[in-house]
Amino acid sequence: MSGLMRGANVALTKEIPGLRTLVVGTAWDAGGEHALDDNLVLAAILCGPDGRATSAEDFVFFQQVVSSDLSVAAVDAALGDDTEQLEIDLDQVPAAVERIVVVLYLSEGGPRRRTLGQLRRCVVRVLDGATGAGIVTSEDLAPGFGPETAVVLGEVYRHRGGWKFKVVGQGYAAGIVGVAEQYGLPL
Amino acid sequence: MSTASTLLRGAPDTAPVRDDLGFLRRRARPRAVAVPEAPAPAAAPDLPVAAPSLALDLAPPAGATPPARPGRTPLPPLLRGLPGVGQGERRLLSADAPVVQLTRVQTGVGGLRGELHTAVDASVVVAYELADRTQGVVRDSQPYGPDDRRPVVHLAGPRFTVDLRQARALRRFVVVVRPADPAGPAVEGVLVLTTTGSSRLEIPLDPSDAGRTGAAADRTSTVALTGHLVRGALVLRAEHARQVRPLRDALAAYGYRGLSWRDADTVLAG
Repeated sequence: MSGLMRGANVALTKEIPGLRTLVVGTAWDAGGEHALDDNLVLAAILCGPDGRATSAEDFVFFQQVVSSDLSVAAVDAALGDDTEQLEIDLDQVPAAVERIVVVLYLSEGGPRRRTLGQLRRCVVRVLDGATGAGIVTSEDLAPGFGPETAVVLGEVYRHRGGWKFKVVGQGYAAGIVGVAEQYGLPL
Repeated sequence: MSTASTLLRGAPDTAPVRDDLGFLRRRARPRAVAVPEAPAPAAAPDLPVAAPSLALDLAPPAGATPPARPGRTPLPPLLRGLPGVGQGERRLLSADAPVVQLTRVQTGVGGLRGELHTAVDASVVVAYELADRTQGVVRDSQPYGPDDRRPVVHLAGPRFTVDLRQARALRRFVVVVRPADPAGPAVEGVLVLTTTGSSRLEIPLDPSDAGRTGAAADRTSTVALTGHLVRGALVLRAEHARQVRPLRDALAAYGYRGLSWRDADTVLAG
């Protein structure tokens, strides 16, 4: 089954007018490489209209599991087909937040170096948090990866009073440091 | 409120079973980061003034956090009064200003890397305690802790790395520098710490006898650095402490008493 391609978007709240809670999940196949599997991290960056992070407190990941406004949270144990998930309460997202950038990165603190190019499969998908029904799944992004150690999987963003989701699939050879620089996240 | 709890309570008894919603009934809610206590070193007679501020005050400041959303708990505020370090900033952790508190982002991204710079033959020893209270030591002959499959701390000569992807599994650590010559003086040099965001913390190692404790017959260890995970953030402290005593006693003075020793200077390999 082919999924939503890089650059394509879907009008979430137009498709599902009552949509209140999103689950953004990712599933990957590391091919048994535990050093790759163990160190992949799903994260969200809450960004303002200028495309920059609103604050360091609004980088949501395993060590900071909820944004300061409680609108975005990392789910402890992703279930279903996903490896990791984030939950976004759309009504609680502050007006100052224009987009929520969903990032997958390799945390490079261990002795073994890996890259996203070693992934055999990687998809991002969006679910309706209230019903669990899948809304959209991306194409397999893994064939586009090489030496990168971070990738912006997608963005949830405001559009004409509603919310849209776009598959991005942009890799960063500089890893999470490159992503942080792009979005003004202080490390 | 959203997802499972709302869904299950709101579902009429007569509603048909939805096989596709199985994962929602098992969804784990987000948890706040574990809040370990900040254990003070058991023997630290020369603790600088900053040390008392490490004591936990779990009460959030009034009005500092938004109202709790059911199912989501605001993270506890970080310790107040401790300096942070900016991205790319260079900071000397002197005896007068020995403490830095990283942000949760700095605490969880990549690795915290340390390197001993010295002109003398010396070694680095890192003792650690995990969140489950198990303790261990990494050293030249045992460079991975707790194991080489997925080490939380690993050592390579004068360099060590704390894997911050596993920050939630770590409770605290201490870095000790020892001269190769048992009769030699304390090591002179600098221990340099680097974060993923290129913040650089420098801890000068002073070979003088200031802060020296123990019997003159024993090798001089320098307890250079301690790190504690407090409310999800790493608090780093330059200890500037000389311990003229066996490694076993030097580590015990900092609360590392859960180790087994082959002799007073050699930890039993785990």
